[in-house]
Amino acid sequence: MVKEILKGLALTFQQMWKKPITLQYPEERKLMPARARGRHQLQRYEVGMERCIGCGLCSAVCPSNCITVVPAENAEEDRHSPGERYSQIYRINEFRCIFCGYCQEACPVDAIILTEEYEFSAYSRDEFVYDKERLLVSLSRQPQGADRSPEPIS
Amino acid sequence: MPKIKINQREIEVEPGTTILSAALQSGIEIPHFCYHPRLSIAGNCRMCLVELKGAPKLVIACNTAVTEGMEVFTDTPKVVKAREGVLEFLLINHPLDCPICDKGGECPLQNYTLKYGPTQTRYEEGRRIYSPKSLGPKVVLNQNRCIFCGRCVRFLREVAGHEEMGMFHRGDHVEVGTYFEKPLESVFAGNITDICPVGALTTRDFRFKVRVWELNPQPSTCSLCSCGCNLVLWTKGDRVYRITPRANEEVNEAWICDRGRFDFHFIENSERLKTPLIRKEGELRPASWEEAYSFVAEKLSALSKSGGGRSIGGILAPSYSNEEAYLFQKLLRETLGSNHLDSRFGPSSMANARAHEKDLQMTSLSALEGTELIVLLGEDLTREHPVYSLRVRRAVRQRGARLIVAHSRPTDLDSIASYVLQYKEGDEERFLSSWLRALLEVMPFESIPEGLEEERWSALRAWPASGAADVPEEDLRGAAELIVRAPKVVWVIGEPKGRGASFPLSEDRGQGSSTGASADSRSLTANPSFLERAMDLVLLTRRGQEGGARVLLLSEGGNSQGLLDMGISPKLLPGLRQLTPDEVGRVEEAWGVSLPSWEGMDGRQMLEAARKGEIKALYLVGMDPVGDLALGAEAEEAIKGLELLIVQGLFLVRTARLAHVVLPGLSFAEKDGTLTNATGRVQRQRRVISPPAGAKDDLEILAEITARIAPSRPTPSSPAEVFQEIAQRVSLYKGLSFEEVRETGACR
Amino acid sequence: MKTETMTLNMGPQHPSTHGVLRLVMELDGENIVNCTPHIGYLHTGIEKSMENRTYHQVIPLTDRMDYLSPITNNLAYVLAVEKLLGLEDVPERAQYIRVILAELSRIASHLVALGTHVMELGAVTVFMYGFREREQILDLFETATGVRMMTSFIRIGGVAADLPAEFVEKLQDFLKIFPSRVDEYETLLTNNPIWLRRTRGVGLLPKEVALAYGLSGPNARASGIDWDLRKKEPYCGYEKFDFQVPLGEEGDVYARYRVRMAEMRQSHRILTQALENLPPGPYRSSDRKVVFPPKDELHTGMEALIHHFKLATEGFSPPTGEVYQGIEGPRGEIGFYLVSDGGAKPWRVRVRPPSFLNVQAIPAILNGCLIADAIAAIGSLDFVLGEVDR
Ligand code: SF4
Ligand code: FES
Repeated sequence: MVKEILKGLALTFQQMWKKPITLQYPEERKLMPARARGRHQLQRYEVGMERCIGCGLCSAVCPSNCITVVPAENAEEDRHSPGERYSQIYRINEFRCIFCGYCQEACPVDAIILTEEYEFSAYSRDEFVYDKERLLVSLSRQPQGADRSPEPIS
Repeated sequence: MPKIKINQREIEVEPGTTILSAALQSGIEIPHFCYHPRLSIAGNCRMCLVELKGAPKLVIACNTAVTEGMEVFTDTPKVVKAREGVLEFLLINHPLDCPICDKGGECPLQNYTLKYGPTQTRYEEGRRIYSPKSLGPKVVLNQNRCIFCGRCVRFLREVAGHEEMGMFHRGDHVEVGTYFEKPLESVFAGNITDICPVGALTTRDFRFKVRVWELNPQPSTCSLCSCGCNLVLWTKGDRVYRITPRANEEVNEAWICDRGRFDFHFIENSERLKTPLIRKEGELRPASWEEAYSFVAEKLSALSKSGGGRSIGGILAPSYSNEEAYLFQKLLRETLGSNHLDSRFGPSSMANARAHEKDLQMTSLSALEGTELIVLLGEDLTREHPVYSLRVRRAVRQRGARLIVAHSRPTDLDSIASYVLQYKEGDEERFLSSWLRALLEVMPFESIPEGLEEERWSALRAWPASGAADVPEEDLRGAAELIVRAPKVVWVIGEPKGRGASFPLSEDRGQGSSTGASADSRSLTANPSFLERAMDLVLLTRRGQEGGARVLLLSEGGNSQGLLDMGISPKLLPGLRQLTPDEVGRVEEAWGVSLPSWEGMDGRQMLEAARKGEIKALYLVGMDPVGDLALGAEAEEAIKGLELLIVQGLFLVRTARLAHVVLPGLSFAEKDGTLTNATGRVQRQRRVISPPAGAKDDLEILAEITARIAPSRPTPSSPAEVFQEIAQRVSLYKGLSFEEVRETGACR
Repeated sequence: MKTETMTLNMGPQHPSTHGVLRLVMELDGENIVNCTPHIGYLHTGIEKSMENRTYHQVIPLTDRMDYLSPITNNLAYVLAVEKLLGLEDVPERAQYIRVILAELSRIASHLVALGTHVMELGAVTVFMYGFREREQILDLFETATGVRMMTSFIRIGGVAADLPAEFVEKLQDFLKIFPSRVDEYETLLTNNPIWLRRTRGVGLLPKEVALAYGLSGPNARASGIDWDLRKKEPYCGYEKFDFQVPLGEEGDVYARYRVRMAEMRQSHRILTQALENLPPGPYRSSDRKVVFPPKDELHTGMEALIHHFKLATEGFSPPTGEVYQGIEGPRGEIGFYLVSDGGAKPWRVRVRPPSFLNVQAIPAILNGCLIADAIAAIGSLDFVLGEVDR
């Protein structure tokens, strides 16, 4: 009986010499895989035009019904996207979102992608409803993920 | 009847039926694009290919009539392959537009491709691209998406009778569009967007608004004119996004006019009233409902006590439901003791009551189909009751009926009429007289014609034999001869209007009131005796009991017939019963109530009486006389002297600004009820969205006021309860129930 | 002397009930006279929600039932739909990927079962070790699917995407070390006298009782019932793999422990073979009527675009009918019974949740035993309340 217990203790003792696998978050961060399904981002074309054409396939396929798309017609003076149609309102309730990635799969123009950003925190619930302004990749700064061509998961 | 087999299933159909309609009748799907059950057969899309036993080649199901013993197969490998091929060809030139196309989700091309089409393209060349063409403000055309089935062209030509579109060029260069690229003008243009099997034709109104799968289609009935078209209201949340027709063979078949389709945006107008207003210190101030109710109730009861019922009048716009109308007359007659009740500012007529009494009223549109002669009198059908004009057109063009149009202006149907009798505006009386004379000449009566009262007969004979009202004598005579010779005549009679009733898209109506109040005051200049005289003519031409003649009386307002049925008239009790002391006595006994037995004033007289100070309180629902061009000044003048003006409606219209109390009511999409169309079909109007906070159901308002004035008597307040009372009390509506009036309505 | 029994509530908030389970125990001193499980605290109406989703949209819902092994839920559901559709051309590579992910999730699930069970009996070390390896597996999931737990990765007709290159490397690393890790757990437990005392002869579940309760999976096998769907009704090509079905005899807590340990080693065997023989080729079916077409075709082919559009917005409509498909999950047979009325959404979905049956057996093994043994016995049954309540 003592032998068994000593065997066990020997095993745990050995572990002391092994490198810990713990990450010192937030100083250290894990490298997220390319497929990571985090916060959404709306993409642009190189010229800055929005990719989204307001077709609403993302909102149709979303199992948790968290995307609202209100389309509108592009005017020549006020062009948002190539073609006739753009999304006037594009809103995602990230609280409802289950990060299944179906929207990215359904988007015919690769406008919506899920990025590796997973750190969400805010002082109010409303802030988790992302409107188009916050979802669109900014023009000046192309954060990581923007130049990454969206890896089609479908 | 030939027996045929489709996919081994035996079915029996009428001789002459095509394979496609035989299949559709028995629930077998054969995909098709160009075929439409209500249009002629074109046979150009080749989508409907089927295999026939013994035939070497596939045949098109839409244009092959069945023969005895025919064996049809719709799913053999050959057919499957052919369909795939047809779809592949169609998709070659179809632009990659699904994501931006409004048809997406309800598109037959998509559906068939998913069900029968190939899954992968083999085509690598460029697609055919057309330069954009405009069809005007209502409909957007994208020719790149067009599959050239020709449904739009055929609809406009065959059904609407407005040949505005055509196909140009040939083969791969084929184009579709309007002649000379003119904008589409037909009032039925919107329908082509429903029947286009792809997204080539879409409405501008609905363009890029919302995805169809997000919408909730709900049945209702149109309240814009008394055709009573069946509608589908497509809602999402508390908003109506579009309106499309709902098929009803007894009413609108599958069509609606553009007014019914597009004219609903006033619902979401931000200027709608959301709180009651009460005049305090000379100004209208927002008030609570409690305040408004007690204000109205107190004032009304005080007035009815001091001045009696004669000092109070009420006018309800003819777009309000039967239930609202019934409660309104109940409030006025039973509770306040007044017979000053009307739905307009024109003269009231007994024509409807007479037509009903003599059993002349047309109760089904199918009467139009079998008739030899249709007489349109004072009615520009295409403008005022557009969907009925489709029936008349078909009766004339396809069933061989003759048409006589008598109107003061050129009308759309003139082109297919045998006689066009165009008289001078305002000259109706003279015209009728001269026509009567012509009639009596070709049809001399020895004795009093059957069914005509003696006094009417002598009145007829005494009609002035005045001049010919600018209508050529031989036309009058010709038309009269037609009438005399035709075994069956249908009279469609409208009231002469003071000015043209045009069909503005949107705005106009919303501002006026919920529902066409200002429009109604047009009957102001109607000749007092026009309708009744016309009825005499009709009676004259009626031969025998078995309906030699039928009449369809058309007034403005979606529920004008229903309002008369409910007794919204100074001369009628509910059930189209003439208001005579005897009749009142009978009703009082039957209902256990007491009613005023004196004859009330019509709308115009009420204004006059108000000016003179005889009427002290007016209750206007959905009416805006001050906002009316012809009536405005006079109405304003009259209203100034009132002690109490209650205005109920959607907007702060000009009359409402002068009111003492303003009560915000609801639009047609926000309340339940029934409407009765011109043929007496009772149909449901439905609450499909919730109303703006603060406004209240008109029925509830009326019930509450009634209950406050007469708390001892029970007042029904839900539409179903009110309807139940109507069905109990009004013989016309006996046996009907709110529930029964379901999808397609019931005849009263 | 007149004695009274005492009623004790264990749960719903109790660290050893593996979720929100409430056990109402009637105690006679230290002995459990009667035990009644109360469930439903985690009811989310998943089955009902499924009736309101297209067949495609149901997949993420299945993740959330047995959240310790989402992949097997995905898989069971997807196989049921494929059966309903009569979809046969699921490519081999897809089947292999499914097997790999399913076996990984079996290991991960067993590690949680082991770790938590052992920890409840006082041995925290094994818990730490187990979770270390589980973390590695979740990492593998993240690499392949983008998330650690709610993978929603198995798709009707295949899987959502091909395995990325780094996945294979990472998996090889894992396979290299894993057997020695299992040895480590065993060193700490298998012959540990304390462990033996606490588990041997405790929580007895005789073969007949196990059968009567419809148990399956490790719980049944520990009682000597030779039943494993991977062998008996092979799916996803399990018949091509060489592995054994570990059996126990005694039906006590210890036997269940031993079966799970042995199963992890067998899963390792399957994984090694699968990785070795992983065939090239497509990762999903080419049946465009139910599977999304490749995205690049959306810009060139109308056919592809229409199919994509319709599948995304409405989904496909399988023929009318009903099917049942069960697979061997880590906790036993997880099965889906689907009824289709020919529409684009299932008319009814009924889940056969192994956890539910395992919970059902609690009174059978607890009645008559000591209260102190209850923890050991409950933990050994391995259930997930998310799946019990759905
Ligand atoms: S990740 Fe899933 S739930 Fe979230 S928005 Fe996309 S589709 Fe909807
Ligand atoms: S439907 Fe028969 S050819 Fe078009």
